[in-house]
Amino acid sequence: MRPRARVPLRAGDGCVRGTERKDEHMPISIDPLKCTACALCEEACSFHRDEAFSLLSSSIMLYRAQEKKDYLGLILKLEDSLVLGKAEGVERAKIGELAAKGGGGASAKPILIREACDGCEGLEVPWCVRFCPTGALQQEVG
Amino acid sequence: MMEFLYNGSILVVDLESRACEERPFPQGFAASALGGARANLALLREFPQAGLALGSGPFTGLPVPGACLSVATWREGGSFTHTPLHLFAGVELKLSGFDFVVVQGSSAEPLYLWLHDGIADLEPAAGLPRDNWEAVDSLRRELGEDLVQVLIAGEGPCLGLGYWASADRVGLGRAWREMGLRAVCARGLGILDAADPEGFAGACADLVGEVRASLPEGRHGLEGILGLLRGKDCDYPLPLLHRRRSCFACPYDCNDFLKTEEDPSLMGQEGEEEPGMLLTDARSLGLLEEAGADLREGVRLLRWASRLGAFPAGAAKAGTQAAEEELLAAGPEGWEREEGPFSSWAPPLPLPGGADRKERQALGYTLGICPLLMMLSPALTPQALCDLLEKGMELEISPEELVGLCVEAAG
Repeated sequence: MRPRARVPLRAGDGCVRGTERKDEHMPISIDPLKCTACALCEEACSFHRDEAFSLLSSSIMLYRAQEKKDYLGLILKLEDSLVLGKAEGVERAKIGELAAKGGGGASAKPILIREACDGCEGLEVPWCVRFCPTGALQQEVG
Repeated sequence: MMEFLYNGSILVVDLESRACEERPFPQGFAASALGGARANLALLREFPQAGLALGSGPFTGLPVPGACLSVATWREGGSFTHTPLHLFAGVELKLSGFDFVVVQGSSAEPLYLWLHDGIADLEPAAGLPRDNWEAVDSLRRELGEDLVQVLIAGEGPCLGLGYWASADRVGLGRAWREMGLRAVCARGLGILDAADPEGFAGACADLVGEVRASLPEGRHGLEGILGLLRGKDCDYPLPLLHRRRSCFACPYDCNDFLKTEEDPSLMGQEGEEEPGMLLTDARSLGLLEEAGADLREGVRLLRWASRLGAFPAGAAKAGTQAAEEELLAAGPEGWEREEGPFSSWAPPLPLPGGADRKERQALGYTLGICPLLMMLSPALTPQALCDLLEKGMELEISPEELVGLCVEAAG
């Protein structure tokens, strides 16, 4: 097995890391109710990060912890904020807010230590959008 | 030596001595055994005392359409059966760091196997609740992760995929209990490499699009499968439908979550803790409908069956008034069709272009692709799969050779 880096959560990772830029560009739009939880976006993004495949390093993460409730969604990490593609609607949260409120559970914590989405800079279409089979992820232009 | 598309690791578990031994792939193993059902057979022949092998395919856990699958191969007497492990269970098994797990011996005390990050532990399971759902909750609490995938052997004969029904049609749950194996838990954050990463990723993305375009238009969920089988629409589950889910990497959303205990249109986190059931088995839903069962009562029955470890289709046939003993005694009630060593979970769908059902199953079970998607999508051609094997693991093989090797696993 290829060794993976174990990056411990530091105290600072659970706290607000600065002010959210209200105009922070979101390279991808999320339609959470179209998502069927296939996780292809996670795999695609991990390839963009590592040129390898895992569910570890992506900037987008499937939230699928509340299985018995069938509650699922997508979390996209930007530089200063998280985009929460919840079944009730899409929200923005400052980095750390989710963890500070106890939201997202243990499964949401790894997103805080991952790199922010760069919209697959240099590519015509981001990998996650290219892979998404349902149209839940769309490229935002501008 | 780096193994492409695999971790390169085989785990041999002896329940009697409670020993776990990790072995690297023998030279040329991936190229000759390929994976999944075919590799499991090779391993069970190498370990004649072993009754069970769990194996991933070369594509399992990669962004190949439908690549959710690991396979549980069970030896009974001189014959073998293959059961697909879908949803996220097959993927987590591979990402735990072990591509194949061979289990031999038995234990008087119930145990569970915990696979994570290249580490294997056998732990006592005597304290786990009898109810499968409670046992899964207990294991996830103990292991500290709510995404741990749990293959669970309950009171009844059918192996559970966490809370939900598996594709087991041979009684793996009962067999595991008799070996003293209550559960296999897996969670992994492994990383898989491809020989030509850019080429492999691009080919996967193109194939996802082609598979999506090839799927029957307007068909979704289990009702789409039943509709295809009958040649007409099936609306039976729709009044309770909350959302549809795919298995890992699958463009078809064949799992229906039906809510029986609250309004299915409620989307938030509030509400009932256990509002319904994820249906993963078209046969059981079809049997309930054919019997004219009230849908809500039928789904409650399937939830109860899942908690017990009863066969879902057998429970559906037993009916919504069935007592616990009847559910536990119910048979698998697979589709009425000869399946050879493969589970009769995948419905007998009409295959586009006169494709051979045995070949489609064999390809899926060996390469780690859901057999149901192999039936649904003609875009998953042997040529396309050979191209992925070449880009992924530098394996040059013709479509005819690939089909021939995979069909060997069908016996």
